[in-house]
Amino acid sequence: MTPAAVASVDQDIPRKSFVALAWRRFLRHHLAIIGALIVVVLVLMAVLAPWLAPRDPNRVDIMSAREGPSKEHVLGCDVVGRDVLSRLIYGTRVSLSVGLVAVAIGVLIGTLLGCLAGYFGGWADMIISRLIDAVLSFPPLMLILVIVGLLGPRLFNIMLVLGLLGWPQVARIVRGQILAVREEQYVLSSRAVGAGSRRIILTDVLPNIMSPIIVDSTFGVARAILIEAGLSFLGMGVQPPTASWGNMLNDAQSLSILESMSWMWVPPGLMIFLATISINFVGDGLRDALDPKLN
Amino acid sequence: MEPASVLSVRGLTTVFKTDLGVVRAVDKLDLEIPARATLGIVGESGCGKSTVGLSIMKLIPSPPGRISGGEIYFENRDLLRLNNRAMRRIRGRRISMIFQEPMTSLNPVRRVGETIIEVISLHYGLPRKEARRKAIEALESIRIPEPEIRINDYPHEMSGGMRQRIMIALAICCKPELVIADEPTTALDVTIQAQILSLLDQIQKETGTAIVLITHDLGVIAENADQVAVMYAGQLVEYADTFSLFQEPLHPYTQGLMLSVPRPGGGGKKKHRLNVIPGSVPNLLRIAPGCRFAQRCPEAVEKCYQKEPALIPQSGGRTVRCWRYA
Amino acid sequence: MTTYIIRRLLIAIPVLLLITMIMYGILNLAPGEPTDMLIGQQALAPEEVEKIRVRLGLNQPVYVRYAKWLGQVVQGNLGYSFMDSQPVVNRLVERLGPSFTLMLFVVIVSYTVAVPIGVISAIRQYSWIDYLATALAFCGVSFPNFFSGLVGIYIFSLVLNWLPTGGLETIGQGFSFADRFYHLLLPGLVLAFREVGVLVRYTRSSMLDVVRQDYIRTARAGGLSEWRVIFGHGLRNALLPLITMLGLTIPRLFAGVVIIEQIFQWPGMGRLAIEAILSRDYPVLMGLTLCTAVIVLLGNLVADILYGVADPRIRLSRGAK
Repeated sequence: MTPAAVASVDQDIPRKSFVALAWRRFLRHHLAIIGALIVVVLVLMAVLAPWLAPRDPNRVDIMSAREGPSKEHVLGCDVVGRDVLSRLIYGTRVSLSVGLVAVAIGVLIGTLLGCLAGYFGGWADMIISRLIDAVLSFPPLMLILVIVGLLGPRLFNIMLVLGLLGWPQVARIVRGQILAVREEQYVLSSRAVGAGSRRIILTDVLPNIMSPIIVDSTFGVARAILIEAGLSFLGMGVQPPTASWGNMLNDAQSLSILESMSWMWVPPGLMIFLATISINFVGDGLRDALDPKLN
Repeated sequence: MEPASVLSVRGLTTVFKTDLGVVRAVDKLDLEIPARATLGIVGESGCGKSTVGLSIMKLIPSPPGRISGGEIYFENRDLLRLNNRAMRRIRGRRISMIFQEPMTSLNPVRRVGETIIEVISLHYGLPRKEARRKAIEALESIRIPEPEIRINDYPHEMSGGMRQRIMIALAICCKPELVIADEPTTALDVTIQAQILSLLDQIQKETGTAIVLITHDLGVIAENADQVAVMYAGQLVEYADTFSLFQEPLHPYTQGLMLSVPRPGGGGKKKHRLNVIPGSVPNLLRIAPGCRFAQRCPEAVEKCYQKEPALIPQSGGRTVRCWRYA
Repeated sequence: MTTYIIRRLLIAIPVLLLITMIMYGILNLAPGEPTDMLIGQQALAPEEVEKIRVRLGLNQPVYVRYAKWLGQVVQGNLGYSFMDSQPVVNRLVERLGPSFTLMLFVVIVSYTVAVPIGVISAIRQYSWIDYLATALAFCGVSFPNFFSGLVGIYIFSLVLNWLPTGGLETIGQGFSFADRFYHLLLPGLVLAFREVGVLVRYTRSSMLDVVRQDYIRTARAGGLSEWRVIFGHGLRNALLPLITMLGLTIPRLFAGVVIIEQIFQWPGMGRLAIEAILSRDYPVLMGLTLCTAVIVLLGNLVADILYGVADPRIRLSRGAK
């Protein structure tokens, strides 16, 4: 073999980008793949709800109240005769949208405040850090209950409150990264021009915060779904007639329903579980894929 | 005449599974470690020298890594065939190891003497008081002042140099036949480096322990090693006694290394540019046929790209893996 | 060490104030007032309502009322409940016990179960134990606790009839430990299920981190047996983060307790919170906020102190954090 040929053999080794490597690692997580598939199914369910649901989820039919599974109502009816299966399918919309919007709000606020704290330091940093501590020390459910209880259980309020509870974690990540980069800036020569430094922060900070924020957001969606379900269960979340998996479980607080009409409460409970666990699997897979510690 | 060997490595192959494929960090390595002397193993990062040390101790982390072939003879037994219990009796007692990072190699929540006492107690079967006394002796031999007090310190209360001395104390406390020192001074200041190396030298004179000194620093080799093994891309490429190696390096890679050492003031009137071996270490995932150094070798000929040279014996107990000396 | 504690306490106070301020502000931003309930219930004339408003101090601006409230708190007076005019302190005290018992039970059970499982899971990574433990942990974390509660009641109360469906004790029966314990079991285990999930994963990851450290390799190089290496050298380091975790557990438990107490009719602070919210009982809500915030901050402080004691790097360095 001539030298030239040897040289080209070496060049043959493929160089994989970060994303490609991360994707490969993700694919090795069987649970994460299953989770992702389930999430896709759930999203489809939410989007295609009007075509998938056999009946109008809000249609009350006293004649069929409390009826068990039958040919017309595959999963039976609830206490006022609404079709459980249809409500189940429409409930997907509520849960997923709450999760996504709540997380989006949290990321937005968190990134903003984190940037302020990290970039300006001093007073801004102190105040925002204390604020972070305060929010994190709050028993979250209490805050939610109070706000929602007082402002009214509208869907947007719930999303807002959940977002307000989620921003500290994001803010911490963003702030930490900005501070880390600033340290380096002082070491770098002062050729870092004013406007240039803003750009450097964008190119240095942004890629490094993407991974932890993505992972945190994924888990955040799962958390939001659980909290919304809990709120609706207590009657302080999404109100009937709108179907939410949580408020479907509300009826089961009566022992008689709990005991003998399991079709009313078991399916929504399982759906919450399914959605949460799939998202958690995906989050776990993402975490291992994006932040490779040889585990 | 060859010196007697305390340990013989024959055909050692150690591999690592990575995201991109299987890497042969050490490839059919043959090495004799002479008794009562210091063998230096030198090479650049990634050449496999640390892996050799870990392989001898059988401390290769087992999910990604694996010793896939060869034999390691110590006291007439093949270490690679020993079961865990037998190997544990050897580790720390007959063969021990010093690691590179004294900062992280000591347990932060334990007092410094604890681990030494534990090892002594285990290998000698002594009760705690006896073991403690022996541990203090070990600290004394490392020239640690006030050993009875220092033995109760925590690692974070000590400087880097002190911590490395503790590591050495741990390594020699049971008077092993062989000590493997993996870059023992790389993480330390230059002045401390000298102290640590002279300490190792002293220990060798006092106890007759064989030492394997793994380093990338030729200066360290020149000062402290009796024999030198040069490694490249997982293989041994040259073996000689230190004086001969420095006086007349045979392998082109060794020659390149020697020339790359910056010399203050240049050599006389001419100033030279820092010599750099062009190219980079070959990718161990796809090993091309022929000599591994051929691509970067200024003296390579056609044959070098076609057939991999074996270790060719030279006079004076030297060997070199290069067709030029066949 | 003492300076460290004092410093932490000093930082905690502004945080506490901030929390109470936020809470007070929120409560007062809400549309509607406590007196609305009274109007609705008792159909009082406007002058009567106004008199009550003045009596309750509702006619003054927010910050004045906050300052007054704060002043009272510092003197130990948390005000009177709007619902029944009882001192808030009394209500809190009588509800603190049951919640505390529940949470203590959960902490003990969950740590005792989760830590060994997490450690074994890490040591035998990728074995069937590890997969089982991970699956269990995921389930625990993903099951909505009210659903587990309902399922628990269904299986253990209604079907098997082993445990009661709720309440602190069987009415009519005198005080008996066994009875109380039976009542504690189901809500406690339901809450613990989730905690175990969280802790198993945390312990596992902490242990995995530790096992990769250099000093573990040093211990092995000395010839120590795998047992000694992992349990003697590794475990203590792995347990340190769990102490910090204790501080994070408390707020999480508070959240869980609210729902569980509702399902199981457990007369604790969680139920009190819901009652107070429904009846807009501001003094009680402020009292609750203060109380829970104090407990959370204290819990964190205690956890930090314990950590400082356990980790010699902190214990022995002067001018710690």
